[in-house]
Amino acid sequence: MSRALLRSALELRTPITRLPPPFLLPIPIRPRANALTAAPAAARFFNQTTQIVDPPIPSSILADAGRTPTQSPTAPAPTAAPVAGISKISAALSTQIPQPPPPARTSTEPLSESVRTLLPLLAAQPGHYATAHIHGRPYLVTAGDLVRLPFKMPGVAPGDMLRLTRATAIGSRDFTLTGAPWVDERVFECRAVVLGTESEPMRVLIKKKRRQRRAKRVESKHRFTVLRISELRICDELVAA
Amino acid sequence: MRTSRPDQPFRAVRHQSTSALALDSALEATAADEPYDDGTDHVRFPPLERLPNATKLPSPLPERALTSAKLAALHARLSLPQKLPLQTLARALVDISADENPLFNNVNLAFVGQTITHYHVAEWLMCRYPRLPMTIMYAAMKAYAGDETLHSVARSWGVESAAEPGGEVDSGLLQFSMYKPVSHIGFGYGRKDNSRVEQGRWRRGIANRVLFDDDFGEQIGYDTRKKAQIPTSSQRTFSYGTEETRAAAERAHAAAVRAVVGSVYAHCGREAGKAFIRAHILSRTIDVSTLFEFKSPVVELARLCQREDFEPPVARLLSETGRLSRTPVFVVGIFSGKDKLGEAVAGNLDHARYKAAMNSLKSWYLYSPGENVRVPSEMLVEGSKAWEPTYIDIGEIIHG
Amino acid sequence: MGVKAVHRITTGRNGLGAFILQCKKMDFHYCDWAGSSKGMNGFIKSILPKFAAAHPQIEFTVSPRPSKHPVIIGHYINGRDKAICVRNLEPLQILKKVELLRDASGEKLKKVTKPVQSINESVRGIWSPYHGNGMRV
Repeated sequence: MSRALLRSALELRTPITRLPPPFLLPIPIRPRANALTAAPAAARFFNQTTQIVDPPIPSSILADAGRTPTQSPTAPAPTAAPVAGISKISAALSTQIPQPPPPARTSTEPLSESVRTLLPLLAAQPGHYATAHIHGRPYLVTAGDLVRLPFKMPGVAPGDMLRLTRATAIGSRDFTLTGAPWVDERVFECRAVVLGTESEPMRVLIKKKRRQRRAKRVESKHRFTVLRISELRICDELVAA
Repeated sequence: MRTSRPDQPFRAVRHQSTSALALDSALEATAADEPYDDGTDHVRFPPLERLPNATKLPSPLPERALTSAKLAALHARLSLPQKLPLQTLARALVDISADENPLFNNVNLAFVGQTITHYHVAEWLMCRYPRLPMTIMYAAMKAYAGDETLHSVARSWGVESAAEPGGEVDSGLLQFSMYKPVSHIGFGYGRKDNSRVEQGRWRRGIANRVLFDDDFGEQIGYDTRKKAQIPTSSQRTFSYGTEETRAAAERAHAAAVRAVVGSVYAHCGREAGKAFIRAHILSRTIDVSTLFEFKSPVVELARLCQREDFEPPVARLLSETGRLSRTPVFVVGIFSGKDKLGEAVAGNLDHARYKAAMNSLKSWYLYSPGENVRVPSEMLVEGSKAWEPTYIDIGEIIHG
Repeated sequence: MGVKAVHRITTGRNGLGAFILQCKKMDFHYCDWAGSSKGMNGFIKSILPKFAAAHPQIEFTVSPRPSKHPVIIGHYINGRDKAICVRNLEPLQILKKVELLRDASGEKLKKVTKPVQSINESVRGIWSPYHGNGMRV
């Protein structure tokens, strides 16, 4: 390990060559000999819903991350805030690295005094949670959690990145910021990746009345969208600025 | 009842394996001369293309990578950039035990990948937990970038392995042989005779490990699990599903992951390589506090307080459920002067004191400047903010 | 030596860092002759090329299985597979089944009652009966 660090020290002396990170670019679709494996086509052919994509990030925000925006500037502008409390920020199955777009709907009201003083303290503590609401139901999540929604979310495919914008509380070990009813969207960034759709074992209900030789078998099998909370960040740089 | 027929030699034909074909070329010639007719309509289902002479090769030819559906799927699944050609990815899947030619196996790529991976893991751990003792640092390094971990990374990528390597195998399969011992790849000097260390004749302290051993502080050419020198001759017989085959599979999968990292670095540059490591290796989770195993925590804590000029630690009983209660519980805190260093709950006083001392030591060792600390490699990006010196600790607690 | 180390390995969580589609391979079996494969044959001709192009992560194989019903088999990264018989289905119905296989994780179906699964340490800590001032009864 010390040798690895020594090598890094040696590498520091070499002239800095900055290349755009190609790993972050979307998957190229290339013609292949095997026609069944790949052929040029639109990436989202099978999802009819349009993607709500946040506008590209100004370069000043990107400077520290060193990333390039995935979406082209011609992507559709963000629509009005959905009731669900989610906005979709990246196309499915096309890229894996989340991009940090700015909050979609920036309100201009200044943060209150107590938030401005205590938010850096909240952000400084290790470990954060948020009570994110999706379709009115609360989920207390931390980064890396698996959320199994009680419904199948329409119009999403595995790999889609969602941004959860509705939260009633964010907090750390000693601090909690509760919203009235929602926490300001500028204060936190919570992103989730759609992992796929899961199901449950078939539920079978036998409907039988007494003295009637008839039994009705009712079957149901629900589908659930599974999300992974990929990022939960408290934006305290907003207060610092 | 068994009957032996010595006059009629046993004939076995294995069409699917290279080794069988290579073993008996005469047999192959006869098999090729007389095509087996199973009544298939060859107009509707044309016969499979005959394999080229490449079946004699130890690994598939690079151009076959372009027609492998598995390989293309793997390339897309990892969302590798287009700059990284499929041939390189195919090469990253050929282990040294399958093909010894360094122009066709992944040794060089794996070496690059290993260096990059270890560097990024090491700098990240050192900046995030600057006070970790060296043994724990080695264990954490191994937890993030060791063979076993990278094996599970490869499995989570959906890398499948061929039963036996050969030139006819699909390029998208990981190819390695479980029965060929391989020498160590990577940094480290190794010792002439590892058994001397085991016998206790040669001391192997931490400084010694830093100097001689590999990046995980492990003896090179020495199997820690079996406590024995790894055999260098290929005469050893292995059976399937043993510890040896498991270790060989782990090593080959890990080499493949490192080779993929190396190829991302080689084709797409430093930042892409770093992003790849962050996404696939550093994003994994482990609770570092579970890596500690203390021998005498109370003494060590006393040494720590002595070194740091704290007041000597005193264990105090904070609360208890009552000694005569059915399940007595004691809450013991360790105090240095008026500062509480740590506390623990246990069923008897001694146990609680030990646990409290361990918790105090862990809270010292696991000091972290933050979850998103800056690491030195961030300075390689143009236009990055000015570097603030990271916290560097004076070292772990040493006591006799 | 003061501290010894315990050997452990890290746990990976898909979607944290990188996302990997769990379905790695799909097999399509059809029959040229049988009527139950009619929709499947139409699917393979018209929809499958586009679907395959949109999903380069999945390896697709198409193979005949004469005198049998058409079947789609999805193979998953965890080693399991899911097979769906698509006899007498229309191409668009088959597309739904294919999307089901694509979205599945390959795990056995389980009834889950808790919506959030976490391996992180509790952020706010766990309540302890031995701390605090207690409650007067």
